[in-house]
Amino acid sequence: MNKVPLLKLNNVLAGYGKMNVVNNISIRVNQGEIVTLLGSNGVGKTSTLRTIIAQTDLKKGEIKYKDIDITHFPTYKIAGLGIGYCPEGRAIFGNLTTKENLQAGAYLLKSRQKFKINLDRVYSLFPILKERHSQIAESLSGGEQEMLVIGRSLMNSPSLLLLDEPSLGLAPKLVELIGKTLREINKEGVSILLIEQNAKLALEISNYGYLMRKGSIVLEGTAKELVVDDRVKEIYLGII
Amino acid sequence: MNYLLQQIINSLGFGSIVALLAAGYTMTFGLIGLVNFAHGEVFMVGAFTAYFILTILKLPFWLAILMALVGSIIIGLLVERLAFKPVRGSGMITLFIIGLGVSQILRNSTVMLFDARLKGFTVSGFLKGVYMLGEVIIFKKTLFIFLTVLAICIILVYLIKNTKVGIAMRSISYDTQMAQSLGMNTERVIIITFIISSALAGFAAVSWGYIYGSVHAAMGVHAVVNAFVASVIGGVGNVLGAVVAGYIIAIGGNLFIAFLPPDLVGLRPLFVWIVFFIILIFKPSGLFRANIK
Amino acid sequence: MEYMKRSNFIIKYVAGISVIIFILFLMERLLSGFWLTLFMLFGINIILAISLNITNGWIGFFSVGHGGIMLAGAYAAAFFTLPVFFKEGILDLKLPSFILHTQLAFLPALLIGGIVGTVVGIILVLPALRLRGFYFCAGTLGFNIIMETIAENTNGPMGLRQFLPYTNIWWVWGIAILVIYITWMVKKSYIGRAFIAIGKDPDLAEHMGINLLKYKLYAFGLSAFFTALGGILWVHLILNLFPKAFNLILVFEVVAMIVIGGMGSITGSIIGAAIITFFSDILAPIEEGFSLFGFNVPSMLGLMTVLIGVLLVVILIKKPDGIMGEKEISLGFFKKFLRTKQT
Repeated sequence: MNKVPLLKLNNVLAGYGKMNVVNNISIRVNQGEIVTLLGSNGVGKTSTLRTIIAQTDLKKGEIKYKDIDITHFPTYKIAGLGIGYCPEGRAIFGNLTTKENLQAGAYLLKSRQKFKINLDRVYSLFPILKERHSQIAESLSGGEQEMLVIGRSLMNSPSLLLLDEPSLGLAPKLVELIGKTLREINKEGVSILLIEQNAKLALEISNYGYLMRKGSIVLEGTAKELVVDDRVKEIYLGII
Repeated sequence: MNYLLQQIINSLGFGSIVALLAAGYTMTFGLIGLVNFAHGEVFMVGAFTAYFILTILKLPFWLAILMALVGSIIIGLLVERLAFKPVRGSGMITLFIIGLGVSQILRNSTVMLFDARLKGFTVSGFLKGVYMLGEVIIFKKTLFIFLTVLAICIILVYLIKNTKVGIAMRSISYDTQMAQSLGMNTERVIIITFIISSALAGFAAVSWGYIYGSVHAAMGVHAVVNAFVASVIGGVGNVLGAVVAGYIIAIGGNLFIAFLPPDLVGLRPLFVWIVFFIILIFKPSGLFRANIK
Repeated sequence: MEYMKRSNFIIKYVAGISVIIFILFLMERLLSGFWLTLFMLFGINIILAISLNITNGWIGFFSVGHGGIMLAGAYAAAFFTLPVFFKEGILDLKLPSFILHTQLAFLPALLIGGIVGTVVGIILVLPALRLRGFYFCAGTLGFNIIMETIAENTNGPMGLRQFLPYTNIWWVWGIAILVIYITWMVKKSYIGRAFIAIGKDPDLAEHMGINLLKYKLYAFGLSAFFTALGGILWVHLILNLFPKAFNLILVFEVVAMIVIGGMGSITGSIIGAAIITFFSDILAPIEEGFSLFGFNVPSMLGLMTVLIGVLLVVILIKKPDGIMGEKEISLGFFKKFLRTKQT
């Protein structure tokens, strides 16, 4: 595994208005890795992800992607560099059909051929989406919507995928499917930065992890190290 | 039966105008939550531009149509950049008040430049006369406008459904931040939407002048109210819904007074408000699917 | 101590009222026709602005239906103040005969008109109350058109004339001062605080035990009553009344008054009224055209409304809270002013 850093956050201070939620965070995602952010609710994991795609007020620090300084880039430009984002809560476009959602994901694609290839790839990962391709996205089940969100983010061939709680509220079978899918796309070269309540799943598929508390990083290490760490177990009583 | 049919035929002209205005109105309404009270004045400016070209400069009709589109687009963009963009994200009421202010500015500026009277709008020799369908009279002018607008609406709905811009518009309407995360440049899409919306208003303006033979500085208010109500009925952000609702309002309005005793004819303006209240009380999300969360 | 405080209080009141009476007396003597009319228009605008502020600024229901309420109140009062010969002879109104044959003095007509305006206002607002936010606002826009259409179909576009010029400086400013006083007191009282609580956070207000419907009706009732009074004073000043009398331009001007002055602030409404009166009435003659240094400026009808519109848009962009925001001028403000002058 090459240790070429794909995404670097250095001493980032960010928040909303006067409130700071991300306190001096430094994170690294190397190429080809799956990195996970752990921590209980409200510690700033989601805000960290949102800061990467410029949906918070960034006050200090820098963010570098493939050595490009994206600290002050607007959201749409960051997406254009190959960073995909799957927010928590299944942010599908409820007014569009399944296929139209995927078309929206392919907004930046120039070539019709590429679109077809990526569409077929998403349909092979999630066959149910092909079945429901003309159905209004609002009427899909929770699991199908999550698959749609992930599939949509893959339509633009991202090199880095930011995922926020993909397994939240899903049945165990679906959680397994999501885990399997993430491993598969990671093997194809997509690096992943993951937030997961389900620490077991997260550490099973990740290479590296960061434990957050109150907006800061209190612990980091490889997945193997974190699994046996008491502090991690403390946060996820009964899950590990 | 013939009477009914005649009333419906009579509404097709006004219906086409409202349909175009409502389509443009609902686009910006869905996209950025903008209640654009100034849309009626963008419409009116287009009409006066055409009037100026046609009646004062005495240039050909096709040039008047073109300049009407240009005039409406320019004013629409100016209003967006100067008045609406600085308060982007404010509540609908603030946007409404600004729209109200802008509409007063534009309307009274027009009164200052021209005056408040009716301005004759004569298109010489183009499609005069009527067709007869049994005993029903169909003005050639009205039929022409109706078919043209129908074609425009079909193209528009196709574009919204099938092009990247259309998908972007609908995505941004539903969830702006998510749309940006997919690479959509919202500012650019907003500008494109305003251009389309204003162009539709410009064409509606020419249709008005052509059908009614005159334009006046206050023509925007009544039109924008109909457009607004049609947008709500059609589902916010839903262009097809707005078009259908526009025709429904026009036809309904005519049928409403057709079946009233003759001395109550003056109550026509009330129709659209009655419909508005009924819809808002019983089905506020509109008769068709809205494009917002 | 109590006794002294109370007599202190009474002295302040008597002194205040005497000062006001004296000022009005002076105004009536000193001001010529144009300026006197202007002063009265200013007073009427204050009444309209402050009443609109109650609904739009305090309970947070942005109404633009005041044109319709003024129309209702003005017509109702006019039916009673117009001389009998006019009503019988020239009009073919379908008025009940007791109205046709009665002519009342101003005060009872004012009260009747005020009550009619209030009733009409409340009836119209009831279906709209279940609408939230902007949709409520859009609904009230319809009031004006509804009332105008009804008036046009019963009275005809020409309207009523032969009004007796009842409006004078005492009526206008007497009522204006009364309106200022009453709303000021209301603002400080429980009712006023309930109004503002509803405006800020209706769910919280409900949890605190405020009956939303009751207080909304109080607010709309109070606002409509004063608005109707404003309309009645207006028609007895300009001496005619027709369906389009309180059209969109007037509705717009009152909205501009409270937005520019600061929604929620009584002082703001007064300042806003002053500014709009300045443009709309003092500078209005400019619209007719004039000559400056031998240079002929042509007539530009509508210029004042354009300027007011520009001012409104600029304020909403630069200082959306308006000049006063929600704050009032207080004695503290004056004391600070005097103190800084001395040092």
